[in-house]
Amino acid sequence: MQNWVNYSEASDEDLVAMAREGNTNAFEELVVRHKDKLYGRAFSMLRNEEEAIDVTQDAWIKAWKRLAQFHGDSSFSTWITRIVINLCVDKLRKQKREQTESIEKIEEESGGVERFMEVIWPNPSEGLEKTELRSVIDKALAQLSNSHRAVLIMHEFQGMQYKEIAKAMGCSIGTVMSRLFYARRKMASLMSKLNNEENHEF
Amino acid sequence: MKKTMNFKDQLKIQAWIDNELDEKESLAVKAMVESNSDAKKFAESLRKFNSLLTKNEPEYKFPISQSELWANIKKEINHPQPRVLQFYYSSLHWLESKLIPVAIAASLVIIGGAYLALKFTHNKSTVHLASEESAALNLGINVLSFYAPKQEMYVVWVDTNAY
Amino acid sequence: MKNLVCLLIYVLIFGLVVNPTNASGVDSIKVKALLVWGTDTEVPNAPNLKPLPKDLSEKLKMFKWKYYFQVCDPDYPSKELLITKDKAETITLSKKCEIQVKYIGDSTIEVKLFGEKKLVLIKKQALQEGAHLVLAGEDKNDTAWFVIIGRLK
Repeated sequence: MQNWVNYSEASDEDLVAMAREGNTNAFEELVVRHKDKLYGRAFSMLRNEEEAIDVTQDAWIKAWKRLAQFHGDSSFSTWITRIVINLCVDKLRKQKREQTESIEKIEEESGGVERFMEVIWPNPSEGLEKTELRSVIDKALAQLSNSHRAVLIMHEFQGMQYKEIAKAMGCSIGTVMSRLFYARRKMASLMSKLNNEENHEF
Repeated sequence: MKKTMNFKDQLKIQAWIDNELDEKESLAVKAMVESNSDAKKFAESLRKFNSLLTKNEPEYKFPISQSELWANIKKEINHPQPRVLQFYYSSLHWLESKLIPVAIAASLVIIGGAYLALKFTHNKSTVHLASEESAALNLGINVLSFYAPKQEMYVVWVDTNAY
Repeated sequence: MKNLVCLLIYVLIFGLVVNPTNASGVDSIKVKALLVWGTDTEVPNAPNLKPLPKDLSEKLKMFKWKYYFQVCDPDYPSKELLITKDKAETITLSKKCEIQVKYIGDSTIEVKLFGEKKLVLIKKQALQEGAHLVLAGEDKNDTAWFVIIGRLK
């Protein structure tokens, strides 16, 4: 019965409408379209393949159950990646990395050693291959702590506002601002080091 | 010339670049940036760096096959949630964002809202039981209805091959 | 708190008494019905088929067929109909396909679909201006038929 729709041509909105009526073929098309991005977001946050796979699958199941709550205020992609992010934040909270967190917490609250130094930001270069740049960003992200990475990803890639990040992470806006500042400075510093190690020019 | 900036100023400039400030604060920071060369340099570099990150998010491929992923998902979703529960969850979402969590007020809205939604839903009659739509069940007709919002089309698919 | 509860009770009563879809109290609506055939054959060998207007073709892209044609029978030309409340109008789309459209108020129409004189389907649908109700099904040789009823402005 469900083989008369051209699912690959249907928009996300139409697929959601059909999925709400129980059309699993429509939902599968949504999975095909968005699975890589969703997994990417989860892996960026968790830096663990197995956990990222689990979280991605959980997010799809949650999305199916909550389709009635999707009101079209944002795109389907944004909505479901928010589900993934919330699941990742929950997972990270349960993980025990307190020692690293507390050292970095002191640093970030004081602005870090970097705040006394001249800012060094990598400058984008036209000659750099996009894949190489992405590889450097990926390696630098892996070296951030969980909370700094989470804030950076939520702001830079997910486009969330400070208050949304604060709500997701259960902290104040001021903490988000400090963490984001620190995360950006740390990323810049890491990217410069990686750039020098690999003899790349940004 | 001063090489370092006050940490508070740096946070303000960051918030300004991130469009998080109200109009008054935004104008104040803009004035500071324009009058201080270090602040200006800091703001421009931060803006460029943010743009570099945003445009170069690392990409990943989902490591297991589509068929395996879908099999895992389908296993869990094979029993769709009853409509009553779907409405219940969407009501909870609305309550969370709009109302003070008072038990009596929440119960009244849920009960009243459930009644109103059942009586006045936008897509009323979009989904019917086959017996309401099919004139002759003994013709072996099966019907599937849904609304396609982008096309503004209410679709009723008549499947005479179901049996 | 007491005021909030009173306000909620008021809203409930108001909502129960007033039908929100009866805002306009329109006594008639204008509709147009088309019979469309979906196929994967680019140039079908039938003189009574003509290409669809672009906007309708775009809407039908969500279905799996590559091409859509309006079935035009000179004996049953397509036309716009003004349907007054509680009155049913019959629209013959082809020798085998007929619909009866009744406007029952609140922007809602009741459509009866007849195939070869047999009643196949009854469908009630609230239809806003510019929206379409599509009754469709598969036909032989992996093609499909579509009865498209549009509410005109």
